[in-house]
Amino acid sequence: MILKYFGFVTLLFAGVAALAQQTPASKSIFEVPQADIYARYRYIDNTSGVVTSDDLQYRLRLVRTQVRELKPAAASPRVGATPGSASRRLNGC
Amino acid sequence: MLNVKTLFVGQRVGKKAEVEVGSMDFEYGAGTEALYADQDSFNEGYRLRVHDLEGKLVPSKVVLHFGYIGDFNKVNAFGRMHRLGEINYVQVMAEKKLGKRFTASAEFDRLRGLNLIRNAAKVTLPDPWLVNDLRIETVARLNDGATAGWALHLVKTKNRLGSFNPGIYYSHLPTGVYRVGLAQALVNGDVYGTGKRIGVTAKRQVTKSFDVSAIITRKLEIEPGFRWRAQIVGRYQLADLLKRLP
Repeated sequence: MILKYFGFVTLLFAGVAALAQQTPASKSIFEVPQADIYARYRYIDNTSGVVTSDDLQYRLRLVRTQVRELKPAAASPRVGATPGSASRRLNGC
Repeated sequence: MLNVKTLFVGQRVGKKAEVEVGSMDFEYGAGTEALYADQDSFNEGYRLRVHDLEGKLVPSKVVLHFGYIGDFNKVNAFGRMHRLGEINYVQVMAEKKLGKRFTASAEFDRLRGLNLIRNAAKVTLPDPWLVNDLRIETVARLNDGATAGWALHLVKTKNRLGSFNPGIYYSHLPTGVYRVGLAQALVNGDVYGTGKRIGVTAKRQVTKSFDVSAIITRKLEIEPGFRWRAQIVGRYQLADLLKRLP
């Protein structure tokens, strides 16, 4: 139980702290180390029959890296998220 | 539909360590999703990663991870974040890089009462050779019905066709490796599935941002599940484009 609240509180405060850091106007808020969109066609021969499917998915990985250093060579908090479409496994396999 | 699959906070500690909290992806070491978690999957937990270590007998990277694996159908991290209080997975992993051509990793996992050992090695071979990337990996379940699996991946990356990468793989992941009761405690890559499987792969880098990959696999034994599977994927990478936006 303690661990549960520790995780939530850490996530909340660290996220707010990282997002609240001063950012020069010329810098974007997030870095984008990964972003892709992909279209897929599948043919699957199950023991119960053949299934074909096609889908379009996307992934976007955002990382907020602190611009203003708190301590030289010591701290660099960051917040990461990976929005994306539904899991592959939910789309028919 | 927009789903936030992972959401975590990381903190660098010094130059060689970082801690992460939240909903995260997995640390694969030198292995792949053939014997480990699907690359689309996620877990909630706490991770310490120490990297860029030096010394002949010292691992290059060490990972200690406490977390929760499950909720495979809950794609959105906000619906899984309460699992930060439930630890059912511990990973202790060491990875070693030897020069530019060899990377190996070894780990012990405790997952829902299962004791697992996973080892993997990746070797980059000379350009003129028939195979340029060789990767071999194993996983072993040590308790409650001990069993083991392995996979081998061979890919030609340096050839006269330039950016065309043909490959072949064999994987054998017995269903029992990750089985707890009637459920699977971990779901490996959907292309690989379980059982004995052989497949051919190909990837063509059409432009710097666009590639096309294909895979055809066949199960080598008669068990429930998919036998033949073919898949073609076209992928466009947007990161450079987004970086150029004002």
